Amino acid sequence: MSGDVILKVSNLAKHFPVTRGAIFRREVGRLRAVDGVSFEIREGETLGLVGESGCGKSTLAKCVVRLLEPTSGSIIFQGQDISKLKGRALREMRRNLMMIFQDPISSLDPRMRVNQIISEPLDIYNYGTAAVKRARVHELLELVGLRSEHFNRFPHEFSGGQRQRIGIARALALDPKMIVCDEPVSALDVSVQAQVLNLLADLQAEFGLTYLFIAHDLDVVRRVSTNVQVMYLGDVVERGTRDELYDSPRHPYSAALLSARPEADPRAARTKTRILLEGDVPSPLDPPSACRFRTRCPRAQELCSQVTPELSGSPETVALGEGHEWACHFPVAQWPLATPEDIRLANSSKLGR
Amino acid sequence: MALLEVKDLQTTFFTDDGAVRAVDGVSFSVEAGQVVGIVGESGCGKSVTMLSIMRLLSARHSATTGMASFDGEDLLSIPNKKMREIRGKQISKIFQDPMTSLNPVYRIGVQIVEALRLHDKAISRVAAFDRAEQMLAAVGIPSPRERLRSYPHELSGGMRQRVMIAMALINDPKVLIADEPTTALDVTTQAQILELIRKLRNEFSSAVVFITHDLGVVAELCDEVVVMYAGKVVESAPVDEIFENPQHPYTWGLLGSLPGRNLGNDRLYSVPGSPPSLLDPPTGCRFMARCAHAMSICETEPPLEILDHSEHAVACHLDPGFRTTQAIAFRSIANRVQEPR
Amino acid sequence: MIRYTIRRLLWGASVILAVTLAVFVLFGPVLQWKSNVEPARIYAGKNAQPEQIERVSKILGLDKPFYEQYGIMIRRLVLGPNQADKERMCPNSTEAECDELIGHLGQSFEKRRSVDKLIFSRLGVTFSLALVGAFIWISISIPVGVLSALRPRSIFDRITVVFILIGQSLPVYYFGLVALYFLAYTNKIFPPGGYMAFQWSEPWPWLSHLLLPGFTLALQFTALYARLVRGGMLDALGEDYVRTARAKGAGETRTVFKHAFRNALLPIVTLFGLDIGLLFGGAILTEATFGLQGIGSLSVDAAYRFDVPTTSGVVLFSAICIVVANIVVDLLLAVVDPRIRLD
Repeated sequence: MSGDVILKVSNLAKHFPVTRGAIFRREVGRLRAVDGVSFEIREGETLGLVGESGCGKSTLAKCVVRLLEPTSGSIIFQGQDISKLKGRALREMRRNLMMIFQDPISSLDPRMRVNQIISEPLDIYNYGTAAVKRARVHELLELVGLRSEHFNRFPHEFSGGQRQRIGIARALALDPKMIVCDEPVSALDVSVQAQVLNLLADLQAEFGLTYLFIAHDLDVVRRVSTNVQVMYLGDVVERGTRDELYDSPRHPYSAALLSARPEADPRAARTKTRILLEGDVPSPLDPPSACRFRTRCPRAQELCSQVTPELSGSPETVALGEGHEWACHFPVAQWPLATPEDIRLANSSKLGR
Repeated sequence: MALLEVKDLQTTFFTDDGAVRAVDGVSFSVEAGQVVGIVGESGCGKSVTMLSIMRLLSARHSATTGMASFDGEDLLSIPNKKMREIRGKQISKIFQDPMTSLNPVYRIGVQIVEALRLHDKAISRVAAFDRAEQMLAAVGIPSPRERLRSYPHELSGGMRQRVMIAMALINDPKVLIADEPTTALDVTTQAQILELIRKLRNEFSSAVVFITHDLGVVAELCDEVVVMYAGKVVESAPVDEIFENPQHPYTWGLLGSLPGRNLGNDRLYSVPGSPPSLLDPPTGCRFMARCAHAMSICETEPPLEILDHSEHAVACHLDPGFRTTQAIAFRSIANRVQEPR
Repeated sequence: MIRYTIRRLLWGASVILAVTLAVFVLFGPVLQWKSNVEPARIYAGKNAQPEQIERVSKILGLDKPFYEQYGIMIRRLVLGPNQADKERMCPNSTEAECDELIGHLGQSFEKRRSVDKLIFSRLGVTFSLALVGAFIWISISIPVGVLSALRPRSIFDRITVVFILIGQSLPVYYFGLVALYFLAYTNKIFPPGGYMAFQWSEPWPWLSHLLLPGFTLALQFTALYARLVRGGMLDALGEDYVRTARAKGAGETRTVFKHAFRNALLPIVTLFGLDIGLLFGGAILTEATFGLQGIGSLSVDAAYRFDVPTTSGVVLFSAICIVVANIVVDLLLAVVDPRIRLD
């Protein structure tokens, strides 16, 4: 079912130096946006990446498509390390690795017509004669559900959903192998969001695309993903197949995220038990020692401030090859938390691994 | 009698392109102690409705007609001075973006105390600051005394929204209008704020009008739901009814397109097309162009507007029997999701 | 706050140092390469003999290497003229006489006087003009800007926009001369020019001499500031926190002045500080039109006569004014706008 590994990221880190002084710049701190992340994606799969603002998911995406240069680590895409590529080689690599952005308004040049926007990648990579490119643009418009008469219009004449379709057509122009989608539906209304999600699913089925799909909306990620990875403060705290992760989250942060997500079912919502986290996400300039989540974790103990938990799975799942891993000393044992007793147990710090 | 009763509200904006009727004949009512959710997608008029009622729209660029009776008085016709006395005292409001809704150059203590002293001239400065401190503590802000001296930019988004809530509740209002108060926040912060609103509603027994596009938030918090589309109310009902027995095709579309609710389906239901321009709205039903069940009457005749909110009400020409079978079919899809796979 | 102040002061000092270097290069080596405007020749006069010029070169210290000349200039700027300077420039004078002849900025070729004293004698005129002008433009532009922002597209706003356009496009000398003609010659309401020093017992003569030039100077600034205030107020009035204030039950006056105005004023404060700093360096056109003997006319005269020390002195003085104004503005903004970080 799933193919070969198409993207393998190892120990990827992106630090932004914080500097002072206009003439003599000195580094006074480091914003560790992404701090040592490893994962892989197989061909034809979708890896969902969830986390709250500031967890580093967008920085990670930009590193993967090399809009940012990673501080360290490697990114193997189709067998080639692209983390240090420059110039021509970088451009060649990019034909196969495209990106769709969050804001369909600002990511399209308002002075370019739709055909110019979509054929720009074709121009850059010398796709063919003008007639060939023209035909390709029409083909792409049809593919994303726009009409041929949209060919000569400007972006402002379209609704948010249609603009996102234009962005998708542009990303598809060169038949990429993989698309990084950075919050592609967050700015859209729910009915339009459904259209775009369906479109992305159709395109994946038709062309065998691989997606790295970033979103803060857990339901959207559940909809599209094969595997899901949860990030907190620049680090992956849990990952697994979609169903494993949504049906039995083990990291307390994933559990809190899932329980905090509002449920579109009033009866379920009334009986649901929620794990409410206290306070805010700490600053990535000065993250807590060892486990980064411990300052807000209801299950944290002494150990959590001393030993950094590594991503690892329970013996059974590893044996099954399911690849459900979490980075926690005291993972959640039972899910869902149905009764107050469950909550007490879940929040009790006495439960060990 | 309802605490707040809105009847046939119409709000028109005068733009360079012409008159835009953003709200066109909206009626609903809010009882004391109730949470009423106003749901709809961007541009449906849900925010404008509440801004019109509070008379916060510029009078030079817009006009509002209809009636909004609060405590026996029509908010739309009372003098400005009287309206100012009601704003912030009887009806207060929290806004979507806590980053921009607080004045950046004043300490939050000053801003909260201002809300108090505008309506209570007699209260001393010291007493006002004490009250502000209590209020910050009540909305769960740690070390409230020190926080009074903070500037907005020193607080996180969630903290600022708590400050906004403290400011809105400090005069013990009868109605709290919350305009997408959690949209700009992360999901764990959203959960904190929703929990806070739930708690405060029980403690302060205010009525809450909650404007949102997020049906999940509606299900979590609201008692009654008003669904708006293109400036009109298309359906209104108690919250369980909306989710279990939805009657309007647009409501079906909204619920069908929720990614979290329809896991059993391979494809999400999606409403085709996009909402009509309000510069030149269709003569018949405004949802017609996107409706899978449209009939010829829908093109010419607008459906009857919803005036009575005591029951489940819907503005649609479809046969009630047909709608009910659709709703049942819909429920079975939803139920399939609930079963473990 | 103290660390911030020190940082700003250090920054100001380094900017001034950079200006001195630029001034030195422009008025030192560059001029000395072109021999017909060589400072020593200018100082010595038109018909001077080569040996006279050579003597003058010695007196002015121009025979020394450039780096040494620059060192002397910096030391004199900071500490004042030392014994060596005095011996060269005023060998046969008493201490008091010598103070008249040379100062921190050197000695004027033209007037054979200390440039410090020359500038100081013109300060009253220039500062008075700048302050009266600033008072006029601020007191007109702020209310006009606020009012037209409160009623955008109203008749008042449209008329304001027209006046702003006229004000910005009328040259100072044209408006000044027309004003002089009608208000000083035809109707003798104002004196036709010149300056009277300020006296506490009788401020009117001072003010009457400054009203016309002040107004002329203010004209362009009024137009610019009214536009900025209008824009700033329109932006601020559209901000969410203004809506929050209204939702709290604040009245219109309170909303406009307490919430919107203070935010709208922040960029104006910056600009105002810079403009005042600039004007303390002299308002050349206005001073020329009204025959005011200020720093502006001093610099123009000096430039015409190749009076190198005076010209460079005025340039340095203006630079110092602007830098000081900048620092004052920054500190003021840090007080008014809490978002500016002070570490």
